[in-house]
Amino acid sequence: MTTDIKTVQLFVTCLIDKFFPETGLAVVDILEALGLTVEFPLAQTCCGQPAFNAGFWDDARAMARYTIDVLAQSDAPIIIPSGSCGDMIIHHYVDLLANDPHYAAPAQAVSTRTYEFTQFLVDVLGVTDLHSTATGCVAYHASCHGLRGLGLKTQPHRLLKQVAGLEPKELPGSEECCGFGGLFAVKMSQISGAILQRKLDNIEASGADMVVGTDVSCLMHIAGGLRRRGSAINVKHIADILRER
Amino acid sequence: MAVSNVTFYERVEEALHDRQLQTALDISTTRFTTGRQNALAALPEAEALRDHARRIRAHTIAHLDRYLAQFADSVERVGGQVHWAETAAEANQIVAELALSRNVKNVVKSKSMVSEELHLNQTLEANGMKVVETDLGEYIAQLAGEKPSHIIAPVIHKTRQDVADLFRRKLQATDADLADVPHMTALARRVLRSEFLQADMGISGANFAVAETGSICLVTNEGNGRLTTTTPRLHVALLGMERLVPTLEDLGVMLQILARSATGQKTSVYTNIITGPRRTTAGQPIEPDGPDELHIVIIDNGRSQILGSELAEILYCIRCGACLNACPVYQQIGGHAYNSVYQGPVGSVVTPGLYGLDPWHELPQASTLCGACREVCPVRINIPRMLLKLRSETAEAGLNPDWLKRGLRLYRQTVVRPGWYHLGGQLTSWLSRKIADNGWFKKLPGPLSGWTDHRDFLAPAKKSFSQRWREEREQ
Amino acid sequence: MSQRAAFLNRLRSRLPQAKLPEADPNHPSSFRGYTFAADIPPADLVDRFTQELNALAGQVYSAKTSQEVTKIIRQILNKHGAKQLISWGSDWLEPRQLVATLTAAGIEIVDSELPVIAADRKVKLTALDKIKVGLTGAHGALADTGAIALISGPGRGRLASLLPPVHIAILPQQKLYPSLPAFLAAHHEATTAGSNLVFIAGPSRTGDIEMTLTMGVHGPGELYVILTP
Repeated sequence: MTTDIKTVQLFVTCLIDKFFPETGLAVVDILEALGLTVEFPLAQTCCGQPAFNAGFWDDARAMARYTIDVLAQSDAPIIIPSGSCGDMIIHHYVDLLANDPHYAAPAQAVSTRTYEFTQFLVDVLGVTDLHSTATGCVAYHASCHGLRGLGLKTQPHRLLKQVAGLEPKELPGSEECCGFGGLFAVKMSQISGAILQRKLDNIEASGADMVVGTDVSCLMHIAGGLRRRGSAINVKHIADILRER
Repeated sequence: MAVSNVTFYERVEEALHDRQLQTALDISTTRFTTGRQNALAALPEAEALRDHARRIRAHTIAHLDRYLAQFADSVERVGGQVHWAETAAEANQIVAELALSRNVKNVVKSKSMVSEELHLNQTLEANGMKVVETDLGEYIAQLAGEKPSHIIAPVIHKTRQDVADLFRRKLQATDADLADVPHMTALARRVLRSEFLQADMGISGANFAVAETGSICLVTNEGNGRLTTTTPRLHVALLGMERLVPTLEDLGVMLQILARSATGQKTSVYTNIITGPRRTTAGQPIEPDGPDELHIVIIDNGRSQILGSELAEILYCIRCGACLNACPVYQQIGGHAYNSVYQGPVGSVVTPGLYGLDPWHELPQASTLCGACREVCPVRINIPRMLLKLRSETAEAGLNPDWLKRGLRLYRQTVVRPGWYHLGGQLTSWLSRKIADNGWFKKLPGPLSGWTDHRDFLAPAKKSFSQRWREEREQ
Repeated sequence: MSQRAAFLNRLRSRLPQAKLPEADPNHPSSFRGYTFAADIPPADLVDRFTQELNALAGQVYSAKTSQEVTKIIRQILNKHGAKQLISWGSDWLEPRQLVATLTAAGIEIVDSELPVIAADRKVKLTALDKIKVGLTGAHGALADTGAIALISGPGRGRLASLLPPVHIAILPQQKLYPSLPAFLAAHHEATTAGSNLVFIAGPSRTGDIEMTLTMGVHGPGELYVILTP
């Protein structure tokens, strides 16, 4: 490890907290195996993205201020195992609070020390080989906000390539949206469902027995679709794969 | 703009179940997106050109008053006439008066999205004129009494059989005329050619207008844009006020990326640059052909509202249609579902921008915010930012459904209170694990049923990450 | 207040509220990064142009003398059973000795000047519509796209390259440019010499019906470019 970072704080995201606790533990495991101390501010909740995307910006601001207060307790870099929530905190907090006399500067400060999990591993720590092992054929789905919001393009691939026993399969349309879109999946469920079907077709055509991504929100949507189809294909967050040694 | 009683959701439903449309959308959007990708990949300076094109558009819009004045002066210097229309009604009146005063009976039109905005055809027809669309796709749409469903490919929603049936009904086509697509095209050419020869007035739009020279530029593949602006003695060009570039050199930059972004072509077949009417000396024509009069109608029709707002960046748009093709939502629902002249991501900003959020507030919601539109936009317009802005205006105006408003209020109160948040989480988890089937739901109640209409829903974990952290680490 | 003043004032009142990312007060000036076409060696311009135009279903010939040019034109006319042409005027034909050679070959050049009177204009257009071949020169051609550039003006009408189903253009080889921006940079008269500057890249085409490529929907369905020294 080439940086002087000793401690990080984890912003686990509400979905991992409530639905995928194992993924959160995997992230902690991986970071600790790299010699880092992981802090977890217990007061954290949700970053507020659903309210922001729905247009309820005053509510989103309130949640952003709350989260900034929570994260400002420590100076440690903030690790988020989600491109989407990462994009929210890194980019949208700054815009939302730009005219807030008390929070503009803290929003900026939090933004500059926040990293999406795989970006932190590869770009900051310079680590790609975590000595992980797995078996099976894996297809990678690139979630949009990580990809286009944070430039998360090569990092997950580089990490997956180093996992012993894993055979990468090309996912056609890997960088196309899965149709999740947060509340969109409920509000315009028929369109969301139609986009999802194309993604599922591509996943099934890829020959993979496992789909991996960096955002549990999209993965939850994809997994629900695969399950509805009766498919045996597994869906995992990248941390779940990287943790296995 | 006319608003039908059919809701957005009903149109979406219809589009999603239209097999023909689904096949057409698959083929066309795939072909256009891969074409675009290949064309730009083959141009080493593509990214730098896009940056430069964005700078040109940004600078132009920021000084639109100055460049419009310069453009108008330039047009008048070469013998063209400029008209200024604040509203659709004014624009229609200007064109109708021009036509009536010159005894116009037959009008040919080449593709113009602005004219769709104005409903100009109805106005002219009400004044006793025959108006014929001449772009093949637009002509087919006109014969069918439909609206175009794509900026670049107006009737991608139709099969050749649909078109054959239409030609049989409307043009008395014979079996020989309908043998294959080239024969059908030849029939349309014959019918439309006689319209061109008899036309008194040609109406065109403009892809670009050049301030320094007073030129307008029209790109077409078929050549109807050239015929419309050449055979009739009167040419009227409708110009959305934002379509300017300062110099001819700037036009060159735009042309290097327009066709590549739109269809994946290196260039359209015809790049037609018109500067004034047929030249004269002492009242006598010195050019063999071309229209004797050129009128350019500069149209606002809501654009200045957009200009004075956070949506102004959408005026950088060069109407290539790349964002439609790349949009996962457009790929599923096609153009008609938007019920507007401007469709897809750009339309979801322009339409409420021009006509207001009520009743157009569903359009900005029809996006996953995936950002593909911004990625492919030749001038890198941040469309998601403006969709979000429109969503926030929608929320402020109270236009969202009650369940959403109530749900978000509860959610906000919970999020800033970790006690409530965790207690609520535990309750939900406990309750849902009692009723879930193997940890999944096949059916959720109320508005959430939208989710389970298409996919299973995972029940929350028995113990959240926070609980486990507390139990395992904070002892 | 005039319509124009009212219109422009409205914009001026709105502009201060406009959110215009990356708008610079100064015009961004010229784009300096053209590399793709600018790198084509002059010797390769003909090959590249030919290749691009062929890809668009246009055909390229080479001819050294006016006799050779006429021979090619005659072949094309024969293919269509035609003896008449719409052409650019004698100011353009004469220096190329084409009037004599074409006439000698039995080819009639039809006057294509449109009258100003509306009714006469329609009659003339209807007559011209029967002619199968149009003949023009060109002010340039673009190697990167296969397009030819035509500037209208006295004796240089638009109809010859537009109305007939066949278009033949004669182009001196030294008028090849790498790209459209290069052509514009070299032809400042392009928008002042006449009312129309047109770039033509192959025959007219459409894909509007089921995206099936079809040639000659409105403009010429065949395009021949004869390169001369």
